[in-house]
Amino acid sequence: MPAESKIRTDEELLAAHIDGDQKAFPALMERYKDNLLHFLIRFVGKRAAAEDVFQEAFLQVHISAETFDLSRRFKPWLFTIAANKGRDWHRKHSKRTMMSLSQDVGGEGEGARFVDLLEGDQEMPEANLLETEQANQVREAVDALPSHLREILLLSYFQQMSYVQISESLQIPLGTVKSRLHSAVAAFSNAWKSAQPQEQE
Amino acid sequence: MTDHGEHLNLCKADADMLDRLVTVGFEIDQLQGLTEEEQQRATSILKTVGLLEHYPVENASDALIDVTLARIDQYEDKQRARMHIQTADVQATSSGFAFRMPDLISIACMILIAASVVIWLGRTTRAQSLSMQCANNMAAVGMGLANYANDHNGAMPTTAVAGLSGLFGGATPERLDPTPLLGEYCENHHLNCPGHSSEGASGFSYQTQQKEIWDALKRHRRVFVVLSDTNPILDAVLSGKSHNPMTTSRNHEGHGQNQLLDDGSTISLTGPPILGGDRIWVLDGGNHGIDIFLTH
Repeated sequence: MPAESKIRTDEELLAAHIDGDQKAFPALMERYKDNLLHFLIRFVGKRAAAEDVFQEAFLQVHISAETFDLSRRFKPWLFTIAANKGRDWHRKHSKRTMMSLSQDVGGEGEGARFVDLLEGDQEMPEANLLETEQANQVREAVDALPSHLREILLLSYFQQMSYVQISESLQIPLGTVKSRLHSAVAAFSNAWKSAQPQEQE
Repeated sequence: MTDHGEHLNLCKADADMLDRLVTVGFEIDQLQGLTEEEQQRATSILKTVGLLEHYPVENASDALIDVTLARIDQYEDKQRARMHIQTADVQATSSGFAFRMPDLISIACMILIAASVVIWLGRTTRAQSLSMQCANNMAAVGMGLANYANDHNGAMPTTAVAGLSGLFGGATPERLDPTPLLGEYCENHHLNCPGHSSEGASGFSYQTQQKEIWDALKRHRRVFVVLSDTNPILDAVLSGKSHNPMTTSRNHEGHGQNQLLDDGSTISLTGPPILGGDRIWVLDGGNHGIDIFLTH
């Protein structure tokens, strides 16, 4: 394979951008535009807001590019910046969440209710309804999660970030990351089940 | 749907299995030696979190990268302007020798001159910053319009403008209507100019044409103005004041105006005439068959 046709890594593109290569940054954005926008739409719940946050995130990447350690991976850094910007957006547009999960759920404290996913196996959406009603139910269930639970759920599932990566990125203790993900899955499962039509006896 | 006052958590077996799934990136095949019960539990967790895949999302439009790059350029411009001020500031305050009366007078003069330069630069920079924010808002509306048109077979959101039929040969003209964009396609604050004067005008004005002209605009493939800073002529006419067709919008203290073009780009003009000799605000009876007339 000729050397010039070699696909540059994210980190090489960022290094080229720092060195003044004007094509490098658009190439980096092109590479992540759908993935990052999908993450942000799920995180902030609105396309227009997600596009705003997308712009802010890449502006921040541009501003902080020279401080980035190029021996580290670019993608977790990008999603960390995007998550931070998304959290700022939530803070500015804060409203009461549908569930009382706005406080950290420390685990097995008094008053906690435990969900066993095996016992209440989830009903999958029927194929012919996926695009409409049930997709909206999934959206409602996700949107009902407090932002601090939602971001960890999305980062771990869609970006496949480990607990350690999330902990370092969001600068919160490892145990908190774990307990938040447990709570997020339990709350999401609960919201999804509640949204399903009750079977007639 | 709500969980009033209760903390939700997973049972220990689910929590442990979820931890294991996270370590393998939710690739269940990577988990070795699972018992049948563990296999069922892992599958059940995956089914739950897998529902997230059904969250409705759309791919990014091509305009998103252009708008982001424009925003970065604006940031860089702003930074350069700031550097300019800081340099002037440092020059104005640097000193370090014994003073005599003539020196003091000279320094005082220099400080006065430098201060006036800094104040002027500060005002200019603030005006530039507000103008950039205004252009950013327009670009966001432009992207919202593109996305709206994409979702509605190319149709733009328009509404009839009553009371202007006399200017349009008896036909009721239509103007762009931003209302259907709100929420899904753009935010409320995008529809405002942050650089408006204290006198009032803060919103934007929208392209207004007969239906046939709208079609002609698209057919001619000619770049045209979609929205602009508030139309000053309309303000004057409505308040019964005399008006000059060369007036600039009041949105930026009378110093020029921004326009969003139909290709999604924004331009900043110091006067009302645009490409092709048309004017933004009024029907000028030009030879092009397409005039620009923006209402708000």
